[in-house]
Amino acid sequence: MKFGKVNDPGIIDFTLPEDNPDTARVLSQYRSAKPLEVYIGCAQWNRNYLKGFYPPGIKDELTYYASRLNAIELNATYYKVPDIRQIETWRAKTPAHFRFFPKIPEQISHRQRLTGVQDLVNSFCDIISHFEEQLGMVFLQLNENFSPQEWVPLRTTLEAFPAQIPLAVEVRNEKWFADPQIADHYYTLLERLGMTNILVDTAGRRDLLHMRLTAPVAFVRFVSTNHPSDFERLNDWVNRIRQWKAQGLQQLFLFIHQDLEADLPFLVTYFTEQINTAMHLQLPVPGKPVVRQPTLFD
Amino acid sequence: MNKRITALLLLALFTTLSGIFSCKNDKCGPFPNRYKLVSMNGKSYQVTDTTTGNVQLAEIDSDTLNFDQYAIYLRFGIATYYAGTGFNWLPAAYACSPVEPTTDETIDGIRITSDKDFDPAHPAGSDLSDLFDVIPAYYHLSIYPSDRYDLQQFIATQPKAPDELTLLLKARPDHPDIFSFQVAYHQDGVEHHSFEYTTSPVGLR
Repeated sequence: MKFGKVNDPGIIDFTLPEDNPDTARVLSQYRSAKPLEVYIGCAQWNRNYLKGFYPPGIKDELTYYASRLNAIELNATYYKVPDIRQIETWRAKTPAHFRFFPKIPEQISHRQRLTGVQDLVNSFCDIISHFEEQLGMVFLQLNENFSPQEWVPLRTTLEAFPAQIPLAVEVRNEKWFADPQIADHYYTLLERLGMTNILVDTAGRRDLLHMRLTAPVAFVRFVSTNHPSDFERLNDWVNRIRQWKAQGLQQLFLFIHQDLEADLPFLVTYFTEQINTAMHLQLPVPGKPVVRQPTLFD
Repeated sequence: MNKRITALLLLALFTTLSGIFSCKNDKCGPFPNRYKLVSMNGKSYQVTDTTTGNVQLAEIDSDTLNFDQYAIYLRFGIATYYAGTGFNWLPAAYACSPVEPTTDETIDGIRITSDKDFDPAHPAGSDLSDLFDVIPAYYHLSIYPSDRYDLQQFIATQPKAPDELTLLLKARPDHPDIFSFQVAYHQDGVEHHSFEYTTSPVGLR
């Protein structure tokens, strides 16, 4: 993912910001003894993207991918809405615990900019519902130039979004975050509708780390920089997730993106091991390639 | 043959250029500026907090409210249309360069009446608009609900048609009673020129 890329990640302060005060209030409504549901994945499963992940001789990439990770950010649906047969094929290749996180098509989000899209949204949701229990959460990502001026189409679309399809939303225009009043207006809408407020952890746009949960779900899109600080950043996330779990967090969806995808499996493996240890979970660790420790870079 | 190709190319060039240069203000669609008000919905709310400058609204949770806790929230439905984005060799329907949706519609007046005598100066059916403040929202102009104005002074400025209006009662009724208010909104609109909304009965003191 090129979004938020910087030339020198070494000069970026990657410290996670303090929580928005409303995050604790939201989470407190969901406190329970249930174990945290954690889904970790990448943004694609194809061999060219996940270099070094697939052993030689692997014939079906998705089948192998789903044997090592439990989620995929399904960006393919942004470009082309799959048909039902395609969804059934994907389901057949993956175990029941595997979850798909489809992205809303660009025709809805970027071309029509949420104007006059109700039929398209309904049609997409009808198709996506064929993932059945393997549907993790649909996510809507808006263009970087989609500003708070387009509040009405955003609100209209979200309020009419089919309630049975869980939705996470990512706005990128900096005006959503620069004015606390506008930000609060947006967060309040998501909270009222029970929708998830996506967190993007990327070097060049630290303002996207709003740390304001609007549901008991943390949906984190982590963009690696191929820098040793990646591991420390993931450690910070483990600590924050542990804190949120104590406050009431129920689900974590974390997807790791990277410019040099060769290192991607290392980070997924590393994060999975860390969250297992910290949260006493037993998530399957992707295994090979061997985990690299931060000290190797020091 | 060559003449035919040249003619086709010129036609395509003309169509493209006309698409680019004729749509500074979006007049290519079924109505101007891709935006018009077509409906008005309302709801009564309880004002929970005015201390921060941001009026917070919540569901009404008691039978009787203090006058300064009462708000009428009005949301306007809009019609808009997809005007296409980016370059198209053969422009699609209403294919203009993208413009920010906006409107030239303006508010002509807002009349608020009650079903009961409010005070000696405001008998049932008379205009109560001087007893209300307003917080307008114009999201398409990046004006989020914040500033509070005297309603009559606001209307006198001939403001543009809004996305939302929050009407806040600023005077106590002569004696506590259950009131129902009717809001009549009038505008210089593209298609619709007035909307009405009647509140549910609410106890005010």
